[in-house]
Amino acid sequence: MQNTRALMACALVAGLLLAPAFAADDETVAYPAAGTVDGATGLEAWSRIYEVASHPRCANCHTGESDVPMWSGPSYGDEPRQHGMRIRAGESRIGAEHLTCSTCHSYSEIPQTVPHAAPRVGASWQLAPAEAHWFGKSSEFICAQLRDLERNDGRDYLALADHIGHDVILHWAWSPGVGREPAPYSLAEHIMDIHLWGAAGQPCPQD
Amino acid sequence: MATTITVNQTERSLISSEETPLLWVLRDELKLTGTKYGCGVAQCGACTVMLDGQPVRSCQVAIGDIAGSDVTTIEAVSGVEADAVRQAWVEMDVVQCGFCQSGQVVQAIGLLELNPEPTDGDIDTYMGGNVCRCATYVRVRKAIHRAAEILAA
Amino acid sequence: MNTSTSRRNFLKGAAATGAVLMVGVTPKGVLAAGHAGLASLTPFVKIDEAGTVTAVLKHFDMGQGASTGLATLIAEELGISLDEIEIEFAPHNPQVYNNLFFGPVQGTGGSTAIANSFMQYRQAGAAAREMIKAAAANAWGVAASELAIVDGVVTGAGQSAPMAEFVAAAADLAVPEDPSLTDPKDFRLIGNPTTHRKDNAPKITGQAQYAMDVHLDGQVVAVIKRPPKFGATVVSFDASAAEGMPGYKGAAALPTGGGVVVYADTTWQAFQAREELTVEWDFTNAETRSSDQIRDDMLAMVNSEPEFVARADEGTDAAMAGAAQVIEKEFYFPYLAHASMEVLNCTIRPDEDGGVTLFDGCQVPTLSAGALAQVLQMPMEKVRVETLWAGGSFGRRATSEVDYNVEAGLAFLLDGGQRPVKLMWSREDDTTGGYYRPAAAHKVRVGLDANGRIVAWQHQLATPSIFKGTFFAATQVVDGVDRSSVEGVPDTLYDIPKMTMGVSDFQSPITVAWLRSVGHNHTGYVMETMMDLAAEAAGVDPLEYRLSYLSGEGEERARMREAFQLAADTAGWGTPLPDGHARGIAGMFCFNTAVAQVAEVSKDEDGYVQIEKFSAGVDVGLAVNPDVVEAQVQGGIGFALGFIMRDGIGFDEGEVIQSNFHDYEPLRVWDIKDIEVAIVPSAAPPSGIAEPPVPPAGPALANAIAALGTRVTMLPMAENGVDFV
Repeated sequence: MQNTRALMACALVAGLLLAPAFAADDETVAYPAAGTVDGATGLEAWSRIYEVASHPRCANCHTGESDVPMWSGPSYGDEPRQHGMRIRAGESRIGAEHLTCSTCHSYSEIPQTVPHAAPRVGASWQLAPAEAHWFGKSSEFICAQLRDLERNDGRDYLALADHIGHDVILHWAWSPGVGREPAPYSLAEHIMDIHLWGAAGQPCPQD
Repeated sequence: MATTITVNQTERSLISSEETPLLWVLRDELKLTGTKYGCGVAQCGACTVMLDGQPVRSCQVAIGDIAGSDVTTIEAVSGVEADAVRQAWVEMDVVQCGFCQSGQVVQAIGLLELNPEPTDGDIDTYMGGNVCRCATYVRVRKAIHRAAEILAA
Repeated sequence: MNTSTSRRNFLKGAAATGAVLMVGVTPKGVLAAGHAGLASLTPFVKIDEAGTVTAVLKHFDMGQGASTGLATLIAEELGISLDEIEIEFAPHNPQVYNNLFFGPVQGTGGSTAIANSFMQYRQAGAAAREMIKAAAANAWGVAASELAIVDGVVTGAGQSAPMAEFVAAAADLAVPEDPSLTDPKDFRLIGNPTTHRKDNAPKITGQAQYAMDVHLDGQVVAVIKRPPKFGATVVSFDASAAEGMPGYKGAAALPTGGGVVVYADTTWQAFQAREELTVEWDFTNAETRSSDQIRDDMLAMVNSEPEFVARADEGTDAAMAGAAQVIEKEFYFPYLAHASMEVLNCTIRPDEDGGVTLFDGCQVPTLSAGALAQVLQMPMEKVRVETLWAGGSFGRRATSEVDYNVEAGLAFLLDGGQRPVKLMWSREDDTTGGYYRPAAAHKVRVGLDANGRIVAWQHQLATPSIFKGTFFAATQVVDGVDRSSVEGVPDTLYDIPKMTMGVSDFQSPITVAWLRSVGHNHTGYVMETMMDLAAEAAGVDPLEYRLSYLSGEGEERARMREAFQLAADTAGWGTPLPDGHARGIAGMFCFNTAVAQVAEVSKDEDGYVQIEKFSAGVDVGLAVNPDVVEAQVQGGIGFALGFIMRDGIGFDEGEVIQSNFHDYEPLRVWDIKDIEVAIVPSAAPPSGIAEPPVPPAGPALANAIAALGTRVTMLPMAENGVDFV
């Protein structure tokens, strides 16, 4: 825990020094080169990545073979529940077979200011691909999945970091609008963690 | 600065600020009050309108995001599906208080445009976001089947 | 302000010809007729020179179909089709447009609209018919008795002409004192299942005008930030953060302490500006308990000595002591929000004469006008009421304080009273705004003899009183017992030989009100659950067991028996079901109507329950519009199932937890597959149908689910062991 905090502080300082105004494609951020991070540091990074991946803002739309998004929050009781209105994203993952996500989730860069309203972002709202199953999955499971090119759309860690930096639907997790708890850390920290984890050789807890 | 959209075939230049939901622009600025406010959070479907031909919850659409788009409201929605839905709605006497029915009708038209022969299951998933507190649901389902019959004839 | 099409047509017609036949009643209740413009005449039916007939509706329409019903009565007697008659809502005039069951009060409630108007509206239509016939008879020199109006055409004695030709002349004639009413065997429209609603067209084209659709020149929109806990009051507020926001017009504290009004040009601007408000509240008298505590407190009350006695049959305790078997159950029902589709709202406009006009989906105009007269310090006659279509109510628009009308009145005053003020609630305001169906706890002990027959019934109830502290208390509270709390128990139609019932009032600042069927929506659940348990203990079919307790004398019992039998026949009660399916039955007699229902449910391999079908049998007397009756039964069942399955207003240290439909989720389309309704043929005077279908739905469902293994006595079901698909 102490180590995590120290490392976070380091990452934060690095972020502040090197990227005062973070932008996803800002090439001035100094990421560690492959092989320059030790396994323990990489695992620490992974644990933070898992905190993000398993957070409701992310996991609720990574429901795997189930095409049903999840809801969670204080007023739903302790347990997450299935998205209301019997929403199903279908094989299309955008609800095309049933009711399209865009019926309620608008394409907008204007922040949502009404509590409990439909999340929105400047991208087409959709469920993550079935292979990217995170909801209710263990750290070991998700870690193995994210380093498996068969299951992560052929992305090495650099491609993964780039994907996270550029796919704005993912950025919603850190700016979910009024009344929703953002995913932990920040987008910049999360990308740094992907680099740390990747540069350490993508270690997983089960290794 | 002003957003311009086409509403019911007429181009409208709007004075409302860009984050204003389309619902409130329709109701308060353009006085098209057939589109109803029920929840403001995309939970009830009373505010459903056609945006570029697709049913959407107008309470979730900021007008700044739809400049140049084409909006059709309950007052003007038309076509063979609209005619069939309205005929079926009358035959089945679906309405009660009626406050959700603008949304139900627009959503049902969207369903039949997409799927002219919906099953009960199709209706359940497509109409599942439209709340009716009078619980006219049994008749909504029957009327959609009836509208499909009318379309097929 | 857009007026309804019918109003516009009517005004056009009247302006063009200036001569209109109006038939109504005088304040003394006798039929009167004459030309338009007769100040003393407040009509039920108006006919212009073009022959356009307009029914003037003394009841509002929240979806229950009263507008279609009243129009049907006029059209039937007048000899025109239902398509030909226009409708408009009456202004406030409690001398003439009063609900005959309410005394000098104009209002809708208690499922009385058709029942109280049945003869009155028929008489008005019949008088108009007789006057037109008399005018035609004069013109043609024939006897009126030879004439009839058929589809708007006066026909007979070899003559035929549209009735429009005789309207002006008819208006000069004396009104018949006792016009002959159509023989029921000749009814074309009353009882006809193929007629259609009058409000279909405006409600599927977006043309129907609800209060929320009112936009008056120069109006300002008011929204109110209300206390986060019931009983809290405003100490001070700071609206400086809203200054400069688009459309923001100012803010003011209500003199009642009940909130801070925020004014803006549009609804969205008002909602946005309200978010910027900070308010300091005084929580000294506020409710601070959480839901679990409230429930535990009520359950403790039903296990203690009751405050009041609702029934005390001598020898009950001794009979219970001698029972071979005692069934004991505790029940809990949470607070419920009405959650009409149209949130509460209304508009007040200043008029040139110093009075005001209230634009509202107004349920009880006399209450609204009276309350506003008090707030605005003006005679009630100066408060005019323009009633518009109401997007639901379920009782919420008729609280005894008419809270939202009073709020609008105060907002209007605080604004200076010089321009129209439209009070808007958000869905969040509506969900958290109180006047809930009161929560209730019951404890029941039913003693059976060795043959499974009931020998004693001991019943304890704790619930907040709806009527105490209101001016209805004088008639509704007897010996400390609020009749609306207990209704359905001490007055049950079941022949329970010995019964005691005790009641305790739960005290809380949480405001309560009637919700569709009032006390019956919890007492019905309790009675019909206990009857099912008793039948089970007796080893007798639950239908047969109930019928055995309804075998006594009386028309009400006979009607209830018929409703049960019809529901059972419709459902195929007793016939085999697929594996995993089960049926449950329940019934109740209330608002002078008998309703019985059979629920069929299924449970899948994973334990999820689906409601397959409801079958209902109803005796509503003569069903004026059978299709509207069917719709009310379908809707009443659906309305009830929503809250029985999954709704409840909960509290976290006094603050309402739920806010919108995501956590107060109504029934949705997939929740029930079908509802079949059968109506007992009857020539008896019509009774009510909006409320009676509500009480049996919950227990019918509960009894069906119990047959699959889970007996639920704490609601809502989804939070108490039942997983719905």
